[in-house]
Amino acid sequence: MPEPTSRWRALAALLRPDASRWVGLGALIAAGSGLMLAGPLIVRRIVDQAANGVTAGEVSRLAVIFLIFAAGAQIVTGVVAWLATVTAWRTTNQIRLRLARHVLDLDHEFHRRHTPGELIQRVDGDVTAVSDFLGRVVPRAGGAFFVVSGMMVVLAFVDWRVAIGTSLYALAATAVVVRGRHRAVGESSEEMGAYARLYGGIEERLTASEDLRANGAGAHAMWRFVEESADAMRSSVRRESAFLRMWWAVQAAVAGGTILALVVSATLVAGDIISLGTAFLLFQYVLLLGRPLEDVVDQLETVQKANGAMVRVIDLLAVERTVLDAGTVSPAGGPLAIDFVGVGFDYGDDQPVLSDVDLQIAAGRSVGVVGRTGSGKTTLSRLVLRLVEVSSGELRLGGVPIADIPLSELRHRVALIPQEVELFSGSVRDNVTLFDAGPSDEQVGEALRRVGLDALVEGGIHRPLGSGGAGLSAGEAQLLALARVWLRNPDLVVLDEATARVDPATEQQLERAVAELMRGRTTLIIAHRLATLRLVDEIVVLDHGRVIEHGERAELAGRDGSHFHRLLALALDIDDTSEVTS
Amino acid sequence: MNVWKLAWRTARHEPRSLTLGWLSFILFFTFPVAIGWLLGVGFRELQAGHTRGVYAAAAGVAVCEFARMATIHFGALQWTQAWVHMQTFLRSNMLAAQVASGGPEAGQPVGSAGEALTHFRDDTEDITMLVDGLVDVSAGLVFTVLAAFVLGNTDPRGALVIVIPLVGVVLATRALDSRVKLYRAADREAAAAVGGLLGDVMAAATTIKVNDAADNVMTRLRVLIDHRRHTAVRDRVLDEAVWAISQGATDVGFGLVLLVSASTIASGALGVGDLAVFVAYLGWLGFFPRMVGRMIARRKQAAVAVDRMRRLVADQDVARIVTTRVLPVGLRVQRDRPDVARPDRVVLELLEVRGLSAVYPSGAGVFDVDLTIPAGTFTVITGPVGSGAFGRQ
Repeated sequence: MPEPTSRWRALAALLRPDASRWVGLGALIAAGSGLMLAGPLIVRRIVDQAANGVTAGEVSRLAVIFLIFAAGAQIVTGVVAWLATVTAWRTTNQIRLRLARHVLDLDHEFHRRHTPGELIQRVDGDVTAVSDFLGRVVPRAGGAFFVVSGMMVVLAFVDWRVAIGTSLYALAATAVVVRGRHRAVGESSEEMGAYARLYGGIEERLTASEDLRANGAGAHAMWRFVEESADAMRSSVRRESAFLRMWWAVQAAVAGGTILALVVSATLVAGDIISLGTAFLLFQYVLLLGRPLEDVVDQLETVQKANGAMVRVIDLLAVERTVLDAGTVSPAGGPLAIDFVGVGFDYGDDQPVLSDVDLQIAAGRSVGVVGRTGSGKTTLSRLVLRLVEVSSGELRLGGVPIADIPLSELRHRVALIPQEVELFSGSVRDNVTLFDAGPSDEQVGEALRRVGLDALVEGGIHRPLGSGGAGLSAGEAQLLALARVWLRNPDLVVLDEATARVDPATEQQLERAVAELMRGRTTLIIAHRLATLRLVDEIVVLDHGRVIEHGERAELAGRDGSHFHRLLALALDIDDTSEVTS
Repeated sequence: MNVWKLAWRTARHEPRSLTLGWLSFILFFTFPVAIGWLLGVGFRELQAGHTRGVYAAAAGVAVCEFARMATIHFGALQWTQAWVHMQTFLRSNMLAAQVASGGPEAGQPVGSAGEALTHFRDDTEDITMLVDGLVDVSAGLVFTVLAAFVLGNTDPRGALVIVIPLVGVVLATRALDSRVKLYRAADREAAAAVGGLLGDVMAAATTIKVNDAADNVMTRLRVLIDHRRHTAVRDRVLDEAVWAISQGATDVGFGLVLLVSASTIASGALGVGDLAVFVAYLGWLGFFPRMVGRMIARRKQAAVAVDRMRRLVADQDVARIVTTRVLPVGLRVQRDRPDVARPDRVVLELLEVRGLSAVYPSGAGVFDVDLTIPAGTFTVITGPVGSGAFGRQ
C-alpha cells in the first residue's frame, strides 16, 4: 500500500487537468460559507438587543435579513452540488480512460490471472467510488474549511480569547477525525477486495452458465457464491467496526464542542467578559462546525470506499508490463521469416514449457504445428506474437530480434486467429474492424465475402451481433476472425484452429478461406484437423516442449517411421472407425 | 407484486439483525430530543445567571450523548449484517435462476455477463436502500413527533411556521418524482453499456492486443463514458439538490420563527433558552422530510431495479426474485458444504422427441422435430450452420 502522502499526491496529479474548474468551485463554496456565517451574527444582535429592550419592528427587520442570507446560502449550495458532480465525473472519466488503457496494455499473463469481472470492478467500480468522493465529500470538506477559517476571523473581532479557544477546539476535532479515518482505510480496502472477488465469481458463473446448466453444476456454483458472500459479510462487519471507532471520535468531538461552549459561556458571561448574544453566537457556531463534521460522517462510507479504491487505482497503475515497446528496427517488407535460436520458455517456475527450440521457417512458407495437448504449441504461437517473452535464446522475425521491432509494427504485421473467437456487443462491422472507423463499409463487406460470410453482409453489417457468440457458431466466429485478418493484410498469420463444433460445410469454407489467406504470407497453423494440414508446406512436431521433427509435409508423410506418418496413420484409423459407426 | 411487498419479503429473510438494527435506530433518534431540551434549560439558566444550573445541564447533555453513541454502535453492526443478508438473498435468487440446469427455476440466459453483473451489484443495492429508507423514515418520524411536542410547548406559533419549509422539501422532492425514475433508468442503461464494453474487452484482452485495437476501443469507451457522465450527473445532482435544499430549509425555517415571534422576542417572553431549543433541533428536523423525499426517490429507483432484475429469473416472475432459501452466510453460522447427492444411475432406454419446437427470441430455433434414439446407438446430428443442430442440446 502506498504511503498516505504519496496517495494524495497521486490524487492531485489525477485532478490537475481540471484544476481551473476545481478552483472555481472553491470560490463558490467560499461565498456560500460566508453567507452561512452571517446568519448567526444577526441572531446574536437580536439576542443582545432583546436584553437591552428593542422594538418588534427592529427584530422583524433583522429576521428578514437573516432569511435573505439563509435563502442565498441555499441557492449557492445547490449550484455547488451541481458543479461538483459535473466536475467530479469529468475528472474521473479521464481516470477511467487511463486505467482502461493501462490494463489493456498489461501483459497477457496479467489478464490470465484476473477475471474480466474483477477488472471491470477495478477500472469502473473503484473509479466510481473516487468520483462519489470528489462530487460529494470534497465540496463538503471545502465548505468546512472555509466555515472554520471564516469563523476564526469573525470571532477575532468579537473576542480574541474566544477565537483562540475555538481554533484549538476546531484543530483538535479535525485531528481526531483525520486520525480515526486512517485506521479504517485498511479494512475498507479489504472489504472492496472481498466484493471484487464476489462479483468476479458471479461474472465467471454467468459467463459459464451454459456449461454449469448442462453439467448440473448449479448447486456447486451456488455454494461458492454462499462462501464468497460469507466472506463479504465478515469483511463488511469488520469495516463497519472500524468505521464506528472513527464515528465515536467524530461524535465525541461534536458533542464535546457543544458541552464546552455551554460551560465556557457560563464562566465568561458570569464574569461579564462576553454578552449573552455572543454566548449564543458561540453555541450556533459550534453547531455550524458540527454540521460539516456530521456531514463527513454521513459520507464516511464514501470516504472509506474512495480511500480503498484510490489505493487500488494507484496499485493498478503501478503494475508494470514486462513486454516493453523499445524496438526501433523494422524488418524488410513482405512475408516474414521466423527463426527460433535455442529458445526456451517457462512461467518463472522452473517447469520449462519450451526448451532448446531451433527452428527456421523461410518467408512465405506455411507450417503446420502438431503435437499433443501441453506439448507447447500455444506457447510457440504466443512467443511469435510477443504476448510473452522468451526466457532464453533468441527469436527473430524477418531477421530482426523480436524485441527490437516496434510493438505497433509487430501487431500490424503479425495476426492471430484464436481458437476461441471473442465477439463484442456491437454491430457486425464493429466485430470485424474491432471498432476501427478507418475501413469503409465496402472494405468490411469485401473481407466478409472473401471468407464466405456473405449472409452477414446481406443482413447488413450495421446489425448488432451479441457478445458471448450469440448468433454465430464457433466455425462462423473463426471465419469472422479470418475476415478481421483479411482487413489488416498482415505478413505473418498464426492460426490456432478451433477444435470443436465445426460442421462439414463450414469446415470446407474455412479451408478455402485459409488457403487463400496463406498466399503471399508466412503462416503458422496450430493444427487439430488433418484437412488443414493438407494445405501446408512444412510440418513441425512438438513433444514436451521440444521440436522432435521438422520437414517438408510431403516428405514426412511419405517416410515410414516419421512421427508425422504415425500421426496420420492413427488419425486415419480413427476416421475409419467413425465411418463404420455413423 | 409491488415494490413494497418485494422489499418486505427481502427484509424478512433475516429478521433478527433487521429488527435489532431497526429498534436501535429508533431509540437513537429519541436522544437528540432530550439533548435539545437540556440545552434549552442550560441557556435559560445562563440568562438567569445560575452558573451551577448550566453545569448540571451540560452534564446531562454529556450523559445523553454517550447513551446515543452506544445505541448506534450496537445498531449499526446489526444493520450491516441485515444489509448483507438482504443483498445476498436477492443475488442468490438471480444466480440460482441463471445456473439452474432446468426445471421451473431456470431463467432465460443473459447476453453479456458484464451487463448482467450490474443487476447483482447496483439493482440489489436499490432494493436494500428502500428498506434502509424505511428505517430512516420511521426513526425520523419518532424524532419529529417528540420534537414537535417540545417545540409546541415552547412557542406554538414558531413550531407551526417551522413546518412550512419542511413541507416544501417534501413537495419539491415529490415534484421531481417522475424525473427520478427516468434519470435513474437512463443512468443504469448507460452504466450497463460501459460495463458491457469493458467486460467484452477485458475478456478479449489478447485479441485487442494482437490486433493493436486498444486505440479504437478507447475511442468507443470515450463515447460511452461521456454519455454516462451526462446521465450520472442528472441522476446524482437530483439527489444532492434534495439534500442541499433540506439542509438550507431548516435555516429558512428558523428565520421564519424569528419573524413571526418578533414581538415575543422583543418583549423578552421568548428567551434565549427557547431559541436554543429551536437551534438545537434545526439540524435534526431536516432529517425527516429529507428521508421522506429520499424515500420517494428510492421507491422509483427500486421499481426500475425490479424491472431489470426480473429478466434474470424464470418467467420474468418478480416473486422468484424473493423465493425463500437458506443461506448460511451469517457471522457465527456453521457452514457445511452441502453433499450434493448424485442421482442414482438410471439407464436411459429411449430418447423420444415428438413435434418439438424451441424458438429463440430472434426467431431461430428448431421446429416440429420428431426423433427416436434407442439406448446404445450413436447418432450424429448434423447440418449446415444455423440449421439448429446446437439448439437441440
